[in-house]
Amino acid sequence: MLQVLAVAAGILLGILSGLLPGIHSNTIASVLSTLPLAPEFFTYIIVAVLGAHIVFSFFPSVFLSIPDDTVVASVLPGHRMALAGRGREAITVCAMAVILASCASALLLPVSIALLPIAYAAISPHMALVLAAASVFLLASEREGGKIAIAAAIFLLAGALGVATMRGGIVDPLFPAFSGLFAGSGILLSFTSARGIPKQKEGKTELDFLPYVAAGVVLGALSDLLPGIAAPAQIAIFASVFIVANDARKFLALVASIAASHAVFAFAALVSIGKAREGSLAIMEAIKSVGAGDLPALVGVLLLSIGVSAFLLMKLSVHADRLQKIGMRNLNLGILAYLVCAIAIISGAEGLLVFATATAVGLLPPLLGVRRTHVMGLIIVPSMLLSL
Amino acid sequence: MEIDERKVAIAAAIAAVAGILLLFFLAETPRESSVAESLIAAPNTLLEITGEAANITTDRFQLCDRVCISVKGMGLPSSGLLSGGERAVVLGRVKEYMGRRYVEAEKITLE
Repeated sequence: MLQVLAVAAGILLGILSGLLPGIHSNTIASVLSTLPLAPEFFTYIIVAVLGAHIVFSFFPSVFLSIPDDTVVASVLPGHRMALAGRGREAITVCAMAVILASCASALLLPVSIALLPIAYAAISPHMALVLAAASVFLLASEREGGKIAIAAAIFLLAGALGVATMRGGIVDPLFPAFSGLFAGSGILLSFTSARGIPKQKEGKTELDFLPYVAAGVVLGALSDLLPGIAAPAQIAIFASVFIVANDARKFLALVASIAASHAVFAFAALVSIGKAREGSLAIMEAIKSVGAGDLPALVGVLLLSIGVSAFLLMKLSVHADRLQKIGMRNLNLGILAYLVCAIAIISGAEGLLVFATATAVGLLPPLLGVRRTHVMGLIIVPSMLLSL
Repeated sequence: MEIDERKVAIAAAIAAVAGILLLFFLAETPRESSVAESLIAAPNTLLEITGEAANITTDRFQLCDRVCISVKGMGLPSSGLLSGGERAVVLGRVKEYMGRRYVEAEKITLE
């Protein structure tokens, strides 16, 4: 009974943290760790929060263009679909991909426990080189010399912002940074056009994205080998260079699968190489040591949380049309006001400086005619330096 | 004056560079702090903490006033001169591992 209560509470908290940008599952875990909870209760609640947070973070990403650091790569194609009246379809794709990828990853968990230590030993000495090579491919995808130079300048500028942000003592530094790069700059640019969120069509979609889910499962496992700065997002961005996903749905399926499998394989990484690739799992490990014997119950809780949350997300997306009634200008002003308040409370004055600077960096790609993914230098450059 | 996309891009680039420089400056400016303040400071904050050294081992020691924080950085030249009960000023960054705070010292000055 206590376990059921813990899972239910975890799902509710995860939904809250997923829907409210800036409240990360790690923040919830950190607050809960200060409460006098029984270790088993605490463990179940944290895992349930993690599952629900992943699923619900797609809602603000798709409809409001506000990204979470794990699913940041979904913000551009997802919001584009919402602007075309296909936001509910985007949510269906994400929910389905998360369910399929988490189940497949759970089945592959025993294999990953055996293989992760071998792969980690092989890759970790060359991590900086791997990231540098992938970044070169990312920039080269612009194809024209002039655009490559502009993209490289933006990549390095975002990288410098990443280094400056991570080096300072800022609480939850990725929240103001990503909010500025995507939401802040997007909102400023939206004031120059009258485009709003149109009436959303039904959420039906074809299940033709299974190969992308399969690729996402493998890439999610790989992301658990990378150092911890938003690794699923980095993997998704690099994957977009190599994997041709010709429609937004397929790319969303890939991003959602990577996020889900990253969460499942994080348990394998914790048990096999002793690396907690999710902040909330690190906090959980500090309260109660996790062994291979605990994995079936914990992964079961994660899958249950993902399943229930995906069902609830689908129900919520039916009401997305209500956003239309608010009007795009008012909605954007509301989001901007929320972000400024949330950043001021969570990250303080320096967080607001990061938000303003990141907004300036985020304006550059659309104004200079290159892809927005180059601003992911924000997390790639610090990861490279960390791996040296 | 007419404003076009190019001028907005130049203004955005200048604002971005200025913001980044200011963030680097803030990240490298130490703040004076008590041991208790260091225990609640955000990870990576550069602090200058004054306290008494205690429990000195080969790789770390505790810096205490009313409470204590662990300090790593015994490879620094001045750390060899440190003895228990002595007052020291530690310049270093707050780090966190498994929920526990410690300071990675960049400079230790004996008072």
